[in-house]
Amino acid sequence: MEGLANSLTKIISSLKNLLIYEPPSIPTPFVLEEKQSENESEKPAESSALTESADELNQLLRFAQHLEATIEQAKSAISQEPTPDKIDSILQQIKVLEAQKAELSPILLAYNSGENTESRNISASLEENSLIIKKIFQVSDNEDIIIRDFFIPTNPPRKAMLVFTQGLVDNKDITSSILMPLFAVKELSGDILEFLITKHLSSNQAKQVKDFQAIVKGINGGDTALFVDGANGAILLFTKGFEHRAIGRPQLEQTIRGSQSAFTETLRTNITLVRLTLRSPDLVTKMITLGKRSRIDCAVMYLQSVANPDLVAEVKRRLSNISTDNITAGMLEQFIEDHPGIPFPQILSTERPDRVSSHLSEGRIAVLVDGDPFALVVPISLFTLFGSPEDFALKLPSGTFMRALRYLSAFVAVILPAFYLAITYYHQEAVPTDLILAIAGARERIPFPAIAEVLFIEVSFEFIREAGTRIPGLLGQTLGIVGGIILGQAVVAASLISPVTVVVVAITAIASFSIPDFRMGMAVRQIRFLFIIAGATLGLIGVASGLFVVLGVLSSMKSFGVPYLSPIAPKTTPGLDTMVRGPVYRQEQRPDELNTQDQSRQPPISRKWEKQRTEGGNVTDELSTR
Amino acid sequence: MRYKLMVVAIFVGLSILLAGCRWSQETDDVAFITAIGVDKAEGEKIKVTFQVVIPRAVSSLQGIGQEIQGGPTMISSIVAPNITEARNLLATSMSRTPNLSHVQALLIGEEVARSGTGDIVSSIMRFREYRGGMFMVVVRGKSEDFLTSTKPKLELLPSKFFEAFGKSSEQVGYYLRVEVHDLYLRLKNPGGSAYATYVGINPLTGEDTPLDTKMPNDKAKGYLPKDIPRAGTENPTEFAGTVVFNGDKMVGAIDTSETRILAMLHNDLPRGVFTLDDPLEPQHEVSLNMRNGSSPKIDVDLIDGREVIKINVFLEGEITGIPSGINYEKPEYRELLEAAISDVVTQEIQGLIRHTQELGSDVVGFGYELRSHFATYRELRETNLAELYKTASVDVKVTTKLRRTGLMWKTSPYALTATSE
Amino acid sequence: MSYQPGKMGVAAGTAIVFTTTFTSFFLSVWSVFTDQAATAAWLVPSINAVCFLSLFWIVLYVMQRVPGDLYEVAERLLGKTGARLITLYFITTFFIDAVLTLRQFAENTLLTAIPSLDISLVAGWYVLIASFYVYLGIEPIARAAYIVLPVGLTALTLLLLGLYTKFHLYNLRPWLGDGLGVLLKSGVPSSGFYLHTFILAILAPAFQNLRTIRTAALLGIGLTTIFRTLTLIMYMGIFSVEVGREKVLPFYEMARLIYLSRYLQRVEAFYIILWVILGLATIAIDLYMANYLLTRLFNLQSMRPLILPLAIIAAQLALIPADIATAIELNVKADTIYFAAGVLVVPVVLLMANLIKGKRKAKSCATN
Repeated sequence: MEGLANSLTKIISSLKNLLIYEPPSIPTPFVLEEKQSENESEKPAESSALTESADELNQLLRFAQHLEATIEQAKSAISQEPTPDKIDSILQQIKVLEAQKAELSPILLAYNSGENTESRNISASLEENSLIIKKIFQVSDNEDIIIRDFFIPTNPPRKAMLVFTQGLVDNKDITSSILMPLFAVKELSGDILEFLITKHLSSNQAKQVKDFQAIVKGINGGDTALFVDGANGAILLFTKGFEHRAIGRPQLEQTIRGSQSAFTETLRTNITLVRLTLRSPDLVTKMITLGKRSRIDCAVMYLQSVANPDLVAEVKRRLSNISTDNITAGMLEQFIEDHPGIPFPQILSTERPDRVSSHLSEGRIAVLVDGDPFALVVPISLFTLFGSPEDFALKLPSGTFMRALRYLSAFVAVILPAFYLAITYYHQEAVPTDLILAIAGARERIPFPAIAEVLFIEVSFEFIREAGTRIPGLLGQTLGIVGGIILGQAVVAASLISPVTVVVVAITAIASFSIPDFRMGMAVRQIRFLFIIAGATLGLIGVASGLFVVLGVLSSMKSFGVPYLSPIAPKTTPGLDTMVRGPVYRQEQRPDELNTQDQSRQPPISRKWEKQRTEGGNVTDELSTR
Repeated sequence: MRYKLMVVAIFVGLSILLAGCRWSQETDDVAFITAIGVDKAEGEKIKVTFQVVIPRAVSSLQGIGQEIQGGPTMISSIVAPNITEARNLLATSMSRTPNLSHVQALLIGEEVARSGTGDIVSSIMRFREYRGGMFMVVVRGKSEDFLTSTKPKLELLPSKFFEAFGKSSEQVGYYLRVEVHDLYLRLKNPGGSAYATYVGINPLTGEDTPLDTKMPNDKAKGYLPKDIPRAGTENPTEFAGTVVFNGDKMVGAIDTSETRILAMLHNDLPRGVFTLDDPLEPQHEVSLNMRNGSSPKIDVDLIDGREVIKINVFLEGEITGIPSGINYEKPEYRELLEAAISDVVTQEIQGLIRHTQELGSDVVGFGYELRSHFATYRELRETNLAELYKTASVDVKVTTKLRRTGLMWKTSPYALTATSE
Repeated sequence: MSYQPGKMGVAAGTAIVFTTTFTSFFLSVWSVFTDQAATAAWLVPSINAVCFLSLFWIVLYVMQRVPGDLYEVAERLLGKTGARLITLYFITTFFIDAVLTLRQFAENTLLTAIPSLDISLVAGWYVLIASFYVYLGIEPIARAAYIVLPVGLTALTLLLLGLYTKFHLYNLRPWLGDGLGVLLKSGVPSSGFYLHTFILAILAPAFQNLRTIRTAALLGIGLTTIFRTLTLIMYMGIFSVEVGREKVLPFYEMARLIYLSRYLQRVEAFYIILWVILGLATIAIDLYMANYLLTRLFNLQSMRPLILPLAIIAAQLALIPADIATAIELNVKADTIYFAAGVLVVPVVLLMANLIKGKRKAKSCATN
């Protein structure tokens, strides 16, 4: 009977397995749930009152244990015959404990454990330090931090510890300039850290620090921290040696003549590049840390004898008073500019060191951010954005011609489609009869109204442009060309868009690409859409009102205290650099609106050789007749 | 608060923009009228002829620009009390709104011109779509016929035809480009009298019907439109001569050579080829290309209530043809030629002034030069300058200098020929 | 006070003066001059300038003796009531000018650009943009005007040069028109057109010193006078009196006549941009001054709440004249009677008060 029941069960279960579909058992998908806790407290559990007192007590306990061990050793040493070595080691231990005792007064203890871990001072006991380091850097989870314990071979040996981040340090440097000299130390006397720094450590930069904040900053930057048992501080040694990109050619601001090196991501390299082009002892660099969690360094560079001190103070004030988590140079720009809501850029961002140095010598200030190959130059006016780095290398007629071309292309890029729409819609009497008949004839079969055509082609061009930047390399460029040509041709052949519209929009698109600054080009593109709407609805009245409004917005903008349209709008002494590019030897004044300390940068006669007599030979000196 | 304000401002602005958008006109919603003709109809009405251009005919798109039957324009004649009403009625027959901002020519039939053009012209100057730069033309005949038979072969569109006609007047001088604006100025301001271009339809038979007021020695004949002996396949319309007005009524016409003199007195003759009898061999003709050397000096004075006019014309010339082979480039022969042409021009000027005095129309504009003789403007306004002109005495002096001689600087005589029995 | 006028220099001052005095030239003023003074109308701007400058110099002379801007000077010399009256007068002049300019420019727009639009919409649009500028302050207005200035002047010069072929000198004869008396009768009261140069005196703290104000006033008035004279000469030479006095939009008609070649014709549509910008600038300056003086008069903290109500009131007032001829007449009457009164009375009163006060001080010093 049971066998039958068994086999029946087996049959049923096998049938079941065969017939009924059982879904495979997959684990439930991961969902990021809301935090269960209601309160928004950021303080981690460690700062609750109970854990604070637990820390205090633990610290005291450890000290007590060390003390007890020392006392035991002393007792056993005294009971037997003590060897000098043993006495020395006990004496050393006592010294260490003495040093640590100063920290263990109740007030200091309470203060220390109440504070944020990072802002504590370095304790004299290596063990405490080690525990604190492990807690700050989450060493149990974080495998990037290396803690190297070793003994300094004095008599008796001293415990010491090296802490550094793997990958950020140059390993050879640590070996050769830290560990090897330390392993050759025979005795320690006086202030341990001072002694080591001045007499033994051969690293080229070494600094004593007293609190953990500096340690954390240094280790995150690639320095190595040296802790010695019994010393009331630590040493930060410079061992930076991470992989970085070599100095390459500028990607966006290419020139034909002029240097071909561009900034990289390393702050130190960038500062170096600027210093190489401006080798003045007045060039000052000040480091400011940005961001609460990202802690990126940024360097503020200016010429001390030229830049307006009020301006420098303002820049520093704005930089130090940003509070945010993460920051890069692009974000920094938006954090410190005067009008972040207006699309026109008020800070110049460039990747060429020669451009930065020429602006610095005019009295401007450069901000370089670690991790970003673009330098920010403040303050600027609208006309600075239209200068290309090639301008310095070109002579008078070519420079002026290129400037005029750029202004014209910016104007065309903003106005042309709006003009075309205004004229075809409202002012058909504004063009000669032949032209209006040509436009009308070309538009006979087109099913769309003119504004729909223009918007359609504009948006298509924006698609093509955006797609071209997404596809890498050569394919991206060909896509742009092919897409444009095919799209334009096909759409005209299908009588969807009139050829006049395609021409107008194509010229506009090309004109907007000849604006040197990328963000300016984007601002121009956005403004153009507003103008198209104004022109198509109110004709030339709309275009004129739009121009007027844009002019008003531009005239009311300031960039770090300098009006955006200087030297034209508040009329300051022009320096032959805005509309007309004067010859290089006649740029005698620095820009007036920067109110620098030293206004003149060239004497009136810069080409002194012209006035001199030539020497030697029987050359008839025509200069003598001048 | 600021955002609310911005939103309100955006809505207000948007509503105004959309309201403006309502009045936009696509290019395929308008029909461009390129010429308007006015004729007399029975009763008090006028017959207005509109010439509308078809944009498809000038389109560059493939498959569209084929030949439209009947040419690239369409003509529509409407009888109405005035031009504005005619335009309204025109809109009933077309699917598009008529647009008058590209009218190139205003053609007025002769009947209408003789009975008074003032009301037509003033309503044109008031309405904003009309432009003052329209070609003002009086048709010898009916303007409707003129418009229907204008089929220029050289131009694609008659609008370009009318517009370009102004250019070629400079080279010849047989007709003048007159704009409505000029006509209106002369109608209102005290000074000269109005004039307009005279056009007509040539029967293309080659018949030669010149006017018989002819100057001796001038081999060229003066023509009015319709009379020029022409045949061929080109356009039967022609522009020749000038119509003169007294006030706003047409009183007569001056022919092509008189028009040329008029242009010369206005300092408006860059080129004009005169043909005259060869002084030494009258059976041959010499042709000279004359132009104003400097502006003609016209002094007008009011002596004893009579207008006294002194004209001093200085011409420069270029010899363009010497069929007789005489070496007129030599100084003494050249002086003969200069004297001959000065003589011809003097007589033509006197003829023009006589003719216009008979008609009572001061087209040259001597009255303008008289303006400085009045102390105040009111006096000027109250003097009838046209009457004064009728009894004016004229003193003409023409000096010519022949500067250029074409490609040849010394004409050689022909070779001796065999004697024939 | 949150509505400080900021800092301006000679350039900005010139731009302000030029804008407020020249913009009426895009309207029907020329026709009125031509009507009154016949062929000598081109002398009227020079007479205006001479009259006005001599009176303005008196004001500057008084301001040299007494520190502060016009309001403070009036306060010191005439007492609080006097200052208040003068300020009230100026507020009304600026407001009237804003309203009438708005109306005429709206009519102008309808006539030349979009004929079928409703006038209240055009007036509303202009006043909206002008009030945006008032919100930004006087500095951006002055700077924008200064930027547009050379472009506008070049465009005007090109216009004048392009019409050269149609110019006839005989149209300007007889030279003295209807006589010197008529000329003066037309010229002297119309120096009211230049009243708004007083902005420089009212906004005196914004300029560095009186010399700046003097230079700015000279330059501005000089430029205006030169261009007005030149354009009037051209206008009279082309149209002469009979046709000239008929036109509602002389400038537009002149621009329409340009025909240099088959392709360089029909340029009047591009001049629309010029006069729209200058008209908007004028309305903005007028509204700003009205706002500024109101806040000064009532000692208010800020100007911002007043901007929108004043703008709406201006737009409503602009629609009151029944037709364009009435609007033109009103404008002429306002300029030649009301503004001219201000031009004559204010400097003289200030001078008298200064002299009397000076005598009184001398007397009091002498008796000590």
